[in-house]
Formats: sequence, C-alpha cells, structure tokens
Amino acid sequence: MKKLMAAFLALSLLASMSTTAFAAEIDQDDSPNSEAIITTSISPTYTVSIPGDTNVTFKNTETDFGSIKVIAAQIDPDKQIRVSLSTDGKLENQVDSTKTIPYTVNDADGEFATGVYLKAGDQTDLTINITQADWNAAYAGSYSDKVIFTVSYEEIN
Amino acid sequence: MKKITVWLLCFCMVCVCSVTAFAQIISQNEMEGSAVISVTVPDSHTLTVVAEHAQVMYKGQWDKSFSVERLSEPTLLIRPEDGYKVSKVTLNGEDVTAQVIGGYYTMGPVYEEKTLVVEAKAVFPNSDSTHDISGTVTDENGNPVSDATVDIGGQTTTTDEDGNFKIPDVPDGYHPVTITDEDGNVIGYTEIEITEGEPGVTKNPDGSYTLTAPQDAGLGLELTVTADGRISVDSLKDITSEPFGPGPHTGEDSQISLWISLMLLSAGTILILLLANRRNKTTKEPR
Repeated sequence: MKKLMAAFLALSLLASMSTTAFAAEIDQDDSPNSEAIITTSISPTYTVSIPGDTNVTFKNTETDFGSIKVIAAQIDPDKQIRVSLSTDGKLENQVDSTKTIPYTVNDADGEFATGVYLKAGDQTDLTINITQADWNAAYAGSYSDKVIFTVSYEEIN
Repeated sequence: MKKITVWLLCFCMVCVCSVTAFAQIISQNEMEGSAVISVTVPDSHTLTVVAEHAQVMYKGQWDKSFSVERLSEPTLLIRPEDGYKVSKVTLNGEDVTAQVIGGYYTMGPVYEEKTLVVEAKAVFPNSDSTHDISGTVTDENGNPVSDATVDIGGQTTTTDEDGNFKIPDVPDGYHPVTITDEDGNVIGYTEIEITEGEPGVTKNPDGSYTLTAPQDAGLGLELTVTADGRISVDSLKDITSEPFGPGPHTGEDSQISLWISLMLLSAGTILILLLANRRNKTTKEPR
C-alpha cells in the first residue's frame, strides 16, 4: 500500500509539471467551404535586471557594478524599453553628511545616464568610478549612496 | 520498488527547484528599482621605516612602524648613529631629503600606507682631536634648563640648576646632539660636526652646525632649546685655558669663602695696627 501511494505521488508530481500552452480559441462553423478568421492579441511583457547593492573597496578607482540586462521581452515593433539612472553622484558619510566622496556610474562610453533596449539579451555593463584624487582627500568613515533605476516603455524616437 | 520511488521523487524535486539569480528583477508592473553603493575609508595608515645607521622618532617613540592618523601631517625626528650623517630620505619612493631640516621632517597629509627609507653615510673626522665641552642650556626666554640630559654623540651628562653641563673627550667628527627632559622626552635636537680650525660655529642649510676648534681645545657652547624641539648653537668659545674640573664656586660656598677672606683681611689689618702701635710706644719711652 505504501509503495503504491509513493508511486502514485511521484506520478502526480510529474504530471503537475506540465506547461500551460497559450492558444487562441478557434471558432469554426459547419460549412465545408467557409473561411475561418483567426485573431489573437499578445500584451507586451518584459523583464529587466539591474545592479544590486555593491561595496566598493577602498582606493579602487573602478569597481564592477553589474549590468542592466533585458532578460525577457515581448514588445511592440515601434516601442523600446528605456532604463534611466538617477544619482546625486556623492557617497555621503554616515556620521557627518558634509563629508562626501564623488563618484560616477559609467558604461563603456563614459558616464551612464540612460539606455534603450529592444530585445531580450540587450545589456549594459556598468562600473562605479572614483578618482585617485578623491580617494586621497576622503576623510575616514563609512559612506553610502542610493541610486535609482527607472524603467519605462516608450515609442522609438 | 522503494528505490525506484525514491529516485522518481528526487528527480521531480530537482526539476521544480529554481535557481536564485544575483540581480534585481523589474517586471512590467514595476517601474523603479534601487541599489546602494557603500565604501569604508580607514581612519589610520601604517608608516614603515627602513633605516640603517639611523632611527626615527614619532610622538616620542623610537620605532620602525607607526600608526598614523589618516590625513594628519606627522613630524618625524630622524637621528643618525654617531659618526654617520643622513644622506638620503625617500617616502614611497619620492626623494624628500631636502625637506629634512635639523633632523626633523614633516610629512604631507597621510592618505595611504607609507614607507620611509633612510640612508646614512659614515663621516670620517679629519683629525683625532678630542675636546672637553662645557656649556649652558637655556630656553628661548633665556631661562636655564635644569635636570636635562645632554647627549653629544652618545656621551651624556645632566645639566645643573643653572643649565650648565660638561662632557669630556668628544672627538672630532659628526655627532647628533639630543637634549631630553626628566621624563625622557626629546626637547631639543641638532647635529654638529667638529672639525679643526679657528674657533667658530656655522649653521648649515640642512639645519646642522659646523664647529671649528683648535686641536684638543676645550669648547664652551651656549645652547638654546626652541619651542619646535630644535637646538640652536648660539656661540662657541675656546676655553682651553679654563679649568675643566668642577666649575667655579657658586651659592653658599662662595659666601663662606668671602667671609673667611674678609675675616683674614680684618685680622691682618688688626695685627698690623697693633704692631705699629707697639713700635710707636717703644719710640716714645722716656730716658
């Protein structure tokens, strides 16, 4: 009995892994010579990954900050995904906010502000950059700053 | 049967397991995401000293490794061994020899680990002359510095209440001069080179002094300790003809000597008067 139950459970798990198929309903009348019109509509969907929290090692002038990457996308042909970065460019001392360390978020072409993406797989690699002179002038302590990534869906210009 | 069942269950669990991705996901229904950038800047850095025939002092400590507060500008004292002179000083490879004045070197703001390399070369005297050195140590206000240890080339003595000191048999050559207080704190430093010549003292651009003196001459020095921890050699005299033993009597001893002298003088005067009086009496005796 136990064996039968275990086997039954296993088979049930296998069966439950089936994927639901997206299909459109087809209506067809009984006339042998009539035409059938098939219509369907698919809503745009996309999934974007952005960099996570990052700790910069002291005196590193360039630190890997991860990537903005379109993981999945089903978008209209005349539309694009735009990802914008918002930052004040200053790491702020957690004890004395008047003490700051300037930084920039860069891509391969320089300081990054915004990027556009059309399909899954499109990505932008980012780095956090602090100059040596700014490191040399930095006061002791812990610093941090929050950057905001904003994703929008818009028409291609 | 059991094994087959277990294998089937495991296979099912593996298939339904998901892998966690290191990134943030923004789906169509979310418009914003954020990330925090953080960094920690250390509050001190290590200063490492590499020196042969020399030693370095920072905050009263002679050592080869110091912890220096970040962005501070530490002042170091670089002292060569007796008979040696500092020839080159580099900081993280940069030559800073010209910035060492009278043995003192003040660094710029410290923002990283530092390595100080000190090179010293031997200075050979041009004669085998030796000198008995005596003198006085005062501060910038002219007040005597008492109970201070004067070290000239490793030979030491202590100043008396009037700031006087005596050090015998100091040879010609290059010597560091250090004055420390009762607690062992360095209150004055300089370097002198004694060479043969007419009595004189010359201050060099690097803050050291050249003392010229006749062979085996006794030297009298006036030393002034300045607020920034340096020694100024104000004058040099050839005092060969003066006795180098215990100094002139001062204080109570001199007063006692004066009284004895006065008493002896008075006694002598009275004796002379008595003799003169007796002679007069003998001359006037009636016939």
